[in-house]
Amino acid sequence: MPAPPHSGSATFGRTAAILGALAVAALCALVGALSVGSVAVDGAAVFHALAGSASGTEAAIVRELRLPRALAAFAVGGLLALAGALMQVLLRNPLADPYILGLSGGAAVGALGAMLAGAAALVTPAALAGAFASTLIVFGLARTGAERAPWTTTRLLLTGVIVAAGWGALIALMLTLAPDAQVKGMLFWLIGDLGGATAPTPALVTLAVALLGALAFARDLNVLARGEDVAAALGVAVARTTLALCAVAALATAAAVTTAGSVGFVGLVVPHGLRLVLGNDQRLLLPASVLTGGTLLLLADTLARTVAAPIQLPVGVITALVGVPVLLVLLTRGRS
Amino acid sequence: MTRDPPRLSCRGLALSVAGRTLVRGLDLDVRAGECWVVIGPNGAGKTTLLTALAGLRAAQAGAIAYDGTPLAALGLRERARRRGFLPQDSVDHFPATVLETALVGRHPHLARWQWESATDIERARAALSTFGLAGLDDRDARTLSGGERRRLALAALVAQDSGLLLLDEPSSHLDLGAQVAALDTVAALARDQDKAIVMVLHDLHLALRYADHAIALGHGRARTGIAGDILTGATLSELFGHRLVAVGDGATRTFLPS
Repeated sequence: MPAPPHSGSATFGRTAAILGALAVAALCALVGALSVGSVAVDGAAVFHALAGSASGTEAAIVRELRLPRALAAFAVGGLLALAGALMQVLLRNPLADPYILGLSGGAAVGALGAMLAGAAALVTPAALAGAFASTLIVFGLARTGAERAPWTTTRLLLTGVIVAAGWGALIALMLTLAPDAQVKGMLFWLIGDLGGATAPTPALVTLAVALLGALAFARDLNVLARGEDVAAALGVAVARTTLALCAVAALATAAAVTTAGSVGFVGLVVPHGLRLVLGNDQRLLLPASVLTGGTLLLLADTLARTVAAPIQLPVGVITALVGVPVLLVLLTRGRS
Repeated sequence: MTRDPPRLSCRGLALSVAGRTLVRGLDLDVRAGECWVVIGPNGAGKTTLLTALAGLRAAQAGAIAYDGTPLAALGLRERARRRGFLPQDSVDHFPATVLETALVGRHPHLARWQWESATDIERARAALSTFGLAGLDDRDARTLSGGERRRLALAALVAQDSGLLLLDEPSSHLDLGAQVAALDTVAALARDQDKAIVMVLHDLHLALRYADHAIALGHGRARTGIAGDILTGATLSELFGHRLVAVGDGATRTFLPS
């Protein structure tokens, strides 16, 4: 008699089937995003434009305007969901998010500083520098005196929250000092906006590298989710793995934030919601988070640029408007 | 006839916490098939000793070896294949099914990109049924009772299939019947499968019933030997700072506070 199916746990076959379905959904969302907008392009025309067999305005809109923005949206959503999934396991806190270590605050201070100085070209590099400065500060402070692994996550969390509060004060100061004409741009950046995302390649490459790096440690993460003492007894180098994966999460978040500003809720809601549906096997949860987060942000951004057209909303407004009720439902369900 | 090296040995082990010496110069040989118990008052360092023997905490001095190989020469994964460790308490932070939880024990046997095979799943299922958890594969482990969760942790440890088992209060959270059943299973691992076991127990009667050797830890020193020689009225009275009178003998010896 064959063994009974192993439904609650992620077998390789089940994982592949779920990821395949999510990838198909992502492709559908991509085609949808490319066809919707001020100029409607039907599905066949989208394929011709992508295949390079069409020319003209429609094809140019699809290839040069919508495709880079759609790919950037997918990459940012995937990066944030991946970083959120990692931070939730590493801190063993299902409500951790990619910004929990103060990274978005550092990036925001860098980006807003560049805007204040009137150096539009420096916004992205300054955001990246701010994100890495914040990461270095948090990791540097949390490492001192962290002889034992159990201290590391608590100290990381506390240090991150404190550093984030400091960045928050600087952001408020800059918004206060900024001339009126610049405040709107700054707010868009803070809420998260893909209007200026024209080069998706760095974010896509970072997403691929970060996902592969995280997947290499997926089973270690499964063990770490059981607790640090259990993981250590099962041969996981707890402190080293935690720090390395925190660094991967920080890199993913930095790439997302420099592409689109600090888009909220994707990194918090997507992994949390998927965990309730799919279980906590990281070999499934991490890639599923990437595909779902990417798809959701792609849909949200399509909505953001069409729902109030010709006004373009920052995508962060949509993710927050959808994310808040979803999160509240998840929280009340989790309590029962 | 040459004898296999002990599953666990230590020489000159010294442990202290916050400047307080717990034990010094401890020599220990735990061989296959032996079941050792660690007893002592609260704060004597029983858990500290067990985590040090597991290689999860650095000792102030001394050397530990598994199967005659110094711990320093064994990688983390290789250590995990030779010794299993059951912490005193475990918290479930995330949902996981019973089978997934037991399969965690197979982690040190799998390569980085390898998935659990049918054999691994078989082993996990066998371990679950050993501890009376058969048929609960897909249950969320967080919906189990405290006693069932403790047995699940023991099953994961058995699925790990190490020759040496270090158990910190394996019978905690279990009612009297379940304590006896779980310790019967643990003792059978030593007797039938030649595992070497070191466990912390609070109940002196269970200690006497299941252990063949004992470590009495307290007041900065450790006494080691045959369980029946260590678990006596005189030794325990001194250890716990309260006079205990032994009644009866052998495995049915009982200790009454006077």
